[in-house]
Amino acid sequence: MTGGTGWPVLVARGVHTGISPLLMPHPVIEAEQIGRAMEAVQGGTPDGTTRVARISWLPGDWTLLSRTSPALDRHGRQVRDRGSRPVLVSEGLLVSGVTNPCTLAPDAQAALADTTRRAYLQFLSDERRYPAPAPSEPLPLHATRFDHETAPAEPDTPWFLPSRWFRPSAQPYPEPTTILLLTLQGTPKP
Amino acid sequence: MRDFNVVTLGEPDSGKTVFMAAMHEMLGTRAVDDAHHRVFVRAPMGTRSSLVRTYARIVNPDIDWDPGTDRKVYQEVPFTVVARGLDQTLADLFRVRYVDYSGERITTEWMDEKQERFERHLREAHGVLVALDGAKVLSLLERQELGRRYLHEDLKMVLGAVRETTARAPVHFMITKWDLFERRRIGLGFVKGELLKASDDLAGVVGSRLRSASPTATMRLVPVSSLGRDFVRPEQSEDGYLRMFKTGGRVRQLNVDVPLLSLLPDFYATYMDELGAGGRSGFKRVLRRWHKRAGEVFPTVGRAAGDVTAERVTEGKELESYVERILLKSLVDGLMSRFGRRPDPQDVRNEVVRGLPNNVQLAVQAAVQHMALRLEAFEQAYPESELTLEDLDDLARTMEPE
Repeated sequence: MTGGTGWPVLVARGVHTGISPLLMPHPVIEAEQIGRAMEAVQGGTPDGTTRVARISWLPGDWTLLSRTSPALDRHGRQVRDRGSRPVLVSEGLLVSGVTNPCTLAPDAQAALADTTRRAYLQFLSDERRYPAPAPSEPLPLHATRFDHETAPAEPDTPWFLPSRWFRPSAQPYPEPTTILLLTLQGTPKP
Repeated sequence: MRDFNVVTLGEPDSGKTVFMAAMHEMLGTRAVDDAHHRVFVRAPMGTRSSLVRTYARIVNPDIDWDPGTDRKVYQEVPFTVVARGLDQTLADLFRVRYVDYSGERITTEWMDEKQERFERHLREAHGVLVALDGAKVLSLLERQELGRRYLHEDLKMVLGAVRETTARAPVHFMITKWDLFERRRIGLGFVKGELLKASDDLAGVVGSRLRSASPTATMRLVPVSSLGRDFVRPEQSEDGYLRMFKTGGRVRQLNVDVPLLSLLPDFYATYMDELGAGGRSGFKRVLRRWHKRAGEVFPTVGRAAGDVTAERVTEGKELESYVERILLKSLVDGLMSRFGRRPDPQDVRNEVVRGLPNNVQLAVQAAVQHMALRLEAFEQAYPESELTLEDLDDLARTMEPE
């Protein structure tokens, strides 16, 4: 339907280092809104549920998809900070030119997860030398309109856990909601 | 009722959130149930539920530690400190506004809206509690790399934030996770000496605050344990950190009430001591100065003092709260007896409280006495807890080259 660009965002603590902006979109760095972006991407319960929010602190149309989950090291073990507390990572995709509710297709999820995981492991391996905030590489996206009732069922992909926004309405005749499915450009449609 | 902004300063994982939940458990839950406790705190329903839930998670041995407070959290926690008389009369004394926030706000360079609110709260704080992380202080004592890093990074940042607060605000330091020191039988005097010796920044902040404070103001170093040694088991990990495990043992809090109880007498003591200094002319001069300077902080008491000077205290119609007048008198009484001053022939303290309900007077007096006795018991248990200029002089002598 349309094209757009998504920038990965990653905010996390390390073992020694406090909450840091590990990956930040170039437009956020340019606009000196790193603090706002950190605030926007954090929060929520760490169960991987996707949150979607319109962004008003950048000029233009922006939507942020984000989720928080436990941080894992390269062996898949839970990362803990100096105070023995479990560490959480908040990751997201800041999408330009989109104002509708949207969700990520598996290919976009995989690309995002790969980017944020690589960045986090690099940070963990040497927290002091990690160049936070590192600018993130943009992902070219393709947006397709679809109804959530017919959305592809992907129970093992956490980005598809229904957030409150996407939960089917209890009304007998709910208002149709336009949801955009974001896929990587150039990827064959599912 | 007066509001006091109190800020607890500490880097991430220094124990601020756990301390606040434990303090509320002691003063906002158990003290309420104990009819002999003359002081307790009351929080609005939503705040109380949140603190109780946090505490319940912390002391549940089957649940992992909560993750660190995230940057999005910026919660003002208002506690009303309530006096309870022997006949169970209740009187609200004052309100303390704590802030729960992620420790990164002290070290961050990234601004957001909450950061501005935090910095304003910091600048306007009437009292400052500095949380020194016991685990890191211990590594410092044991000459570990982690301790060295704490000294040059975290502690430096935290003390930088203390310098942002007004010089008049009383400052107390608390060493969190004190159970770690108890296990090793390390005394507070030793820890104090080593900390002051190791950190020029700490010695500098202590010295400058003590010099700008009233001569009778007290600066404390309070050993605090929010959970106690029976509940937490530390284990040295491969990376040098002490990992804490919940054991399911009994939770025993240590001194979590002391920092809050220390603050009220401090707030008033600074001013009241000035009031009590010198003769009548000195009294007037100090009052004028005080009235002008403290108008914003203590408008009601400021006005009361102005009325006293003008010898116009009769019905006190201008005053917002009679509780404050009683509190004022009780604290002056306590200070006068503490410093052995005889009442002035023109003492007007009784005038300050004339005509006020007797049961409220008794409740407030009982509360003030309760706080004084608690602090006295604490000082007896930890005679080295006071930070003084003599400590710094002793330090300077030991550091002098022979």
